[in-house]
Amino acid sequence: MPNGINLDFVTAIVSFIFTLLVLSYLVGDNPLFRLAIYVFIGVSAGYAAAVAWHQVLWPKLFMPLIYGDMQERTLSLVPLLLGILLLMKLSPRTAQLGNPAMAFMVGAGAAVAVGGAVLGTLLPQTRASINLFDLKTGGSVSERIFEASIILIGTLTTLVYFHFSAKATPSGPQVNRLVDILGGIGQVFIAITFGVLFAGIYAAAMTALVERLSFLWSFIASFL
Amino acid sequence: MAELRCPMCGKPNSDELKKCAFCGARLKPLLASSPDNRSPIHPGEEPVEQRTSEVKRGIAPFGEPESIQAGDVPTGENIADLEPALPSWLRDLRDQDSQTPPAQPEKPFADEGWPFPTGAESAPQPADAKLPDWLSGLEAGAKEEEEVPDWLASIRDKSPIQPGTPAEEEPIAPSEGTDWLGRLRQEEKEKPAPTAGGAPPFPPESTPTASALLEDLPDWSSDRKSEPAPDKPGPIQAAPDEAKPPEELPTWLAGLQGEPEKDTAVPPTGPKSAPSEELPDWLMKLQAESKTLTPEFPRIDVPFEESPDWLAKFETKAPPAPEEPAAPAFASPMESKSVEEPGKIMPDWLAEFEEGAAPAEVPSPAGLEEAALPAGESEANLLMETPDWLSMLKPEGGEKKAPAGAAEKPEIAPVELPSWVQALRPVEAVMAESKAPQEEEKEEAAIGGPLAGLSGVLPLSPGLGALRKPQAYSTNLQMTEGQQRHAASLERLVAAESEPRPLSGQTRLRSTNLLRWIIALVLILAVGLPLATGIQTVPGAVYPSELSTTRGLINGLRANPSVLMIFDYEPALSGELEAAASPVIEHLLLKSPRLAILSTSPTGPILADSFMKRITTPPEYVNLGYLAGGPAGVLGFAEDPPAAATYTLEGVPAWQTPTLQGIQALSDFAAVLVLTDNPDTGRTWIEQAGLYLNTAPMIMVISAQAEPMIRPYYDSGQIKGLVTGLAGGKAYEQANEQVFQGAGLTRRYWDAFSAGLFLAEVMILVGGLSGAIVAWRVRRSKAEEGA
Repeated sequence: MPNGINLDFVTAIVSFIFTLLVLSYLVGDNPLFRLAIYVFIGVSAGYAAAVAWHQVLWPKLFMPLIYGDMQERTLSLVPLLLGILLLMKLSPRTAQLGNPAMAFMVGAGAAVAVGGAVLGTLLPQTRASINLFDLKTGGSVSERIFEASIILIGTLTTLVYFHFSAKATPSGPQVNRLVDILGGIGQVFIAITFGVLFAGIYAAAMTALVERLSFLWSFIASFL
Repeated sequence: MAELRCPMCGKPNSDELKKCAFCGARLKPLLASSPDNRSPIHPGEEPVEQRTSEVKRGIAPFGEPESIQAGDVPTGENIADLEPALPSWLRDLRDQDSQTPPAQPEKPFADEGWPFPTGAESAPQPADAKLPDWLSGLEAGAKEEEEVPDWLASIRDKSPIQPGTPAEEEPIAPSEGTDWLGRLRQEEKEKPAPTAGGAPPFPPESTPTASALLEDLPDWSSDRKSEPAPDKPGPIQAAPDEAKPPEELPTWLAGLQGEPEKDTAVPPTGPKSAPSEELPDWLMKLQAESKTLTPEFPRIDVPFEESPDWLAKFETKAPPAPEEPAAPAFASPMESKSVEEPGKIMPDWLAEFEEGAAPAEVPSPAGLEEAALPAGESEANLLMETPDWLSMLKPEGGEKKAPAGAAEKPEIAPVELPSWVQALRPVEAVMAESKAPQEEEKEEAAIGGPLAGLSGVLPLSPGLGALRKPQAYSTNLQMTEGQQRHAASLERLVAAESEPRPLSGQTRLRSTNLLRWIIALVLILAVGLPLATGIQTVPGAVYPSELSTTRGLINGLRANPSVLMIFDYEPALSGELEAAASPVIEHLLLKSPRLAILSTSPTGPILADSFMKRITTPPEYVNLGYLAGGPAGVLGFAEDPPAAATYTLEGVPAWQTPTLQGIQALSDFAAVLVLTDNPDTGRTWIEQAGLYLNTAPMIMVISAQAEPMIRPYYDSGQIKGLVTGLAGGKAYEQANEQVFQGAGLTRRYWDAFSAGLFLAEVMILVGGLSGAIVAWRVRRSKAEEGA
């Protein structure tokens, strides 16, 4: 960095400008906003490519292939071959050659995701929902029962809401009355969940706005 | 709609069609025009007894009472005007005829009532020695003749008639050259009457001109003439009934029949002369015309004797029968001859049949064929006008029909055919179709060539019958009312979809932009003012339930613990995450931890560096950089951290650094702190790495938007500590106020954040109220309009 130029100052100026460009979206879609978006996308892609090369390809593929022993080199040929085959997807003529690599990726990813979902989410969450009725876990009995009942009702009614089966009648498909009522209760729980999600997103966005306005004010205040 | 099955191909057709739509055969026979057979016979119906004698043209020449019978004396006629036109040889022949004695009275063939002479009777006599050279040569050559072309056969059918006509034979029979004919006639006369019922033989005075004339008459006249046919005697018994037909026939038609008698030199008999007097003038003219033609017959006979060998052979085999009807006066010589002597036009097979076969009454296809013939059509005419193949069919009926008619029955005995035969009627269908064009062609005679003067020998059109126009079918789509209604509905739907829809008004868009600007301005002011002024009036956040747990975990860490920090958040939410994580990390730094930084986001490592630099006392940490592979990478790192993240962000071996010494597994870390704004990323770490932590607690600092998805994992105990968003960070900072002393980042943001939330709540409330008011107004206006 040349003398006399503070990197933090440059960063602050760039950040200030791009913050204003993004905030210009208040008046609608405009070239300034698009310019900021394009720059962010380009910088992010370039940075991601640099990170992928420096932190993935070189240290984990090419370094073992070049500087590693025979075992590392042999093992490195597998990802190299799969990677080359995956690049064949770029051309329609050779796209089929990339199917094995793609199949390996999808298969491995699905296996990992399913295993993690079953062992890390489904079973633990089911067990946790059952344990809510364990009165020995602490707290008052009424609170435990109330909380457990809410969780149970919310879970069941939400699942019932997604029960779309109906009985075929001459007047048309007719949903069971009980299922309809439980589905309506589940709809309430779903609405509450969406409200919570919206509140969380709004809170996150509001925090980001506060942080940006704080930065802008700090940057402006630095010149005052 | 009833179906009518085609008699030819058997396929069903509509009863409205006249011809089969598949093969073109006529579905309804033309015989329907017959008064006694108008309804078609269907399979299974009882066959109707049909009088084949009603066949008009097939029997008429034999049974017409007006025909000139054998033995009739031809009437004299002045032919002086035609003398110059005759060739010399014909005049010579006439001279010879004049020198011959008068013809012997002809004797009709009485053998089995068959009008045609048998082979024995027609055998040439020894008197051939008296024949002229040219005639004897013809006769000799005729014996050797075996095959004759069809066209010549047709001519032969007509040519040898002259000797058969009594009016013509009278002058010829006495001649030396034709004495064999005289002998034949004499033998015939000596034979008993052919009719079993005692009907006398045909009178020799009868002239054939009337029957021949009727053949040439139009159909309506033929039909009219054939109506009384069932009541008439058989064709060969015409003599006794000669007096009756004139009474039954119209006067003019009776005159036609009687007029040729005038033309002949023989004085007319009583019964014949009476109707002839009642003839109209125009018919009398016709008779006069025929009279002029009659005398020529003998002259024309001679050329036929000079004609090819087959003619001589034919003459020797078929002498004129006295009971045969005479040639019609109006017909051409060729036609009249063919009508007069059907026996002469018989092929060889028929002659053989005559010799040995007895008349049979067994129904045959020929009989069926005759039954199908329209009334008024004579057999001879059919032979004359129908194609060869049809003439081949004809004699079978003729040879069986004639004896029966000659014996007792005036008509051909009705036959009982199986119903299926009558229903099929292949011959009938063919003849019905071939009849119409033949009737038209009958009028057209060949002008030149070997068929000059002949009509109906060759069909005008190729093939069996006239070319039929293909059946016309309607191409209009037949639709029911329901189909039309559905089509109209579909058309309306398509038309409605294609209609342009008006865009929403621009005013609404302007109001939306204005509202957006107003909201943005209010928010900026509400958030900016606390930041600008530095006012901290909002009280502290409420302590969440997980706060104490999280603080307890951090407080429970031993000194100088190895802590893995996961920076998995995007730069857009870095302000929130940094604000929420700052109190926790500040609290953690009190333990002098050995920090290892890892990220599953490419931007995570650089954000981590940026964040660590903002901390008051930056600790030593190892940035392991970016962990690729998503869930699989997390799982790989959980299983073997040194293998998954070997090098630091700077490219040095991370696990050999003092910070990470002794760490070979994920459970070797004292705690794992995950900073994420994405619930999926947080879940991934919980699912994949949670099982490998053992006793090491997982603490999550998450964004507020990820809380609804991550909190259940905290409730289930899968994560031990949780700090959510700015509020959680503010609460954590408040709990550690002694550490931060009110100078924390969250405290600076908290007022602005609170103002923004409050403004949002107000806007939600105002928006809800305004929406309710608008909806109430709309309902009220609708109610007023309805009232």
